[in-house]
Amino acid sequence: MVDYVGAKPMLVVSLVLTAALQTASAFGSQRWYLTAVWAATRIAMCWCWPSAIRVVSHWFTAARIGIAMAVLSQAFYLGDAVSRLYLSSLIALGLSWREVFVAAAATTFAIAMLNLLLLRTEPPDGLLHEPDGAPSRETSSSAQSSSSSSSSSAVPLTSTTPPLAAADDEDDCEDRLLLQQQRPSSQQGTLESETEHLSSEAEQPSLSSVLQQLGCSPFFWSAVVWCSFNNLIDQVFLDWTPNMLQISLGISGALAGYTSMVRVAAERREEHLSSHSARR
Amino acid sequence: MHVADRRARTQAFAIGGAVSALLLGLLNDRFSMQVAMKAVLVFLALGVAILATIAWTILSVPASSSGLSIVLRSSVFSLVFAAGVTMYGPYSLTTATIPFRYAGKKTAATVGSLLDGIATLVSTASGVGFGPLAQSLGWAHAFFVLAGIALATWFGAFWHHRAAQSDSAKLK
Repeated sequence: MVDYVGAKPMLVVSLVLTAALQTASAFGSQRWYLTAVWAATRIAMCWCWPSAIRVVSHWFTAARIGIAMAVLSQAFYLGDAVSRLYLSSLIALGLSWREVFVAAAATTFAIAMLNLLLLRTEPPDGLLHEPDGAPSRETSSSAQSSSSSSSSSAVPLTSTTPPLAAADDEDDCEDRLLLQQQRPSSQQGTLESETEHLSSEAEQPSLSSVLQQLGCSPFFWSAVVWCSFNNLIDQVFLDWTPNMLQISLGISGALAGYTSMVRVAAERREEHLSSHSARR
Repeated sequence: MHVADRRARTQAFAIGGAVSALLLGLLNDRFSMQVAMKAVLVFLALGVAILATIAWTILSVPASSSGLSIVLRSSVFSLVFAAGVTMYGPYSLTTATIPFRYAGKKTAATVGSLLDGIATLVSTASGVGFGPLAQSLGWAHAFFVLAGIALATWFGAFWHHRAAQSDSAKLK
């Protein structure tokens, strides 16, 4: 949907829905209610990451996409820790769990509004950030990159890159750049105008054709296998490491829960119990 | 072990992942995707060894032990951090960089969300499967199973590396 509707509307809708559902979490305590609301929250939240991928892929060329995505992914590496600190500080201020949910919803809504006002999903006039930090045109950056070392992967995505046409195909890109370099300057202008023409005519491929190509691609399925097992291990670590440390390595106390908030609550309960027993 | 101590060890995994993601991103941009993939293969191979070491560490701590020595505490911290570096960091390459490289900017979000969606579905097994496994086999053996899954991850990454080099795998 993000590729077809647009990153900004999907991101803002996702964040507003998430804020609404977080607020709804504060108005119920039955297990079925919280389970349903939390499941809906996860569905609403799942549009954020593809939106972020789309925005970053429009702002950065292949030469800088690695570090750009790495910085973006800090959201789930360090964002979790930051949000736990933030929510823990709210609990420390004496807010009840319902008030914490409302505060989280207000924060999410504020982030949604900031995105609505400030987010630019595409650089103006096709400007992209190049490795030297100075924005330049995609087409001119192609020639610039071709003069750089051949071992470098500084291969900007030209607008001639067909959809699903393996932007990772560095050989193809290099061939294209070499071809452009070898052409007389008079013809280079033609190529650039050709590129712009193709860019304007390039259409979004249909979802069915994308899925069809993905379905029979070993490149995609191998990534799925790798990604799935990797994520499974990561989730085990994130969800179960506190329990493992607690149970297996000589730590007494109540079991930590599945979710981070339950874990924080369990830890606070344990802290309370230990301070209580120390006083006694 | 104090509560704050335990939390610090959990955060060590995320911090390790953050460092590793930045390192792989730099390798990807500075050299090439191929170099980054080779680094991922090395990381994942080390990850298998680290998970097995964690399992062995758990086995070596007596069940009656009420606390850990400073050396063992530091070892656990280092191991969890190293697991973050080797297992958590490479995930960003799959969900973030590969869709862009593979699909281009027009359909990167579709490919990225499919990858992430399937991976998230599979990872729900961690919630329903790992707890009972740890209860029935013990934490040490559960972590040996996890080391086996890490080995499968390595083979998946290796398959991907080979598929990326093959012309027939490229989408036109």
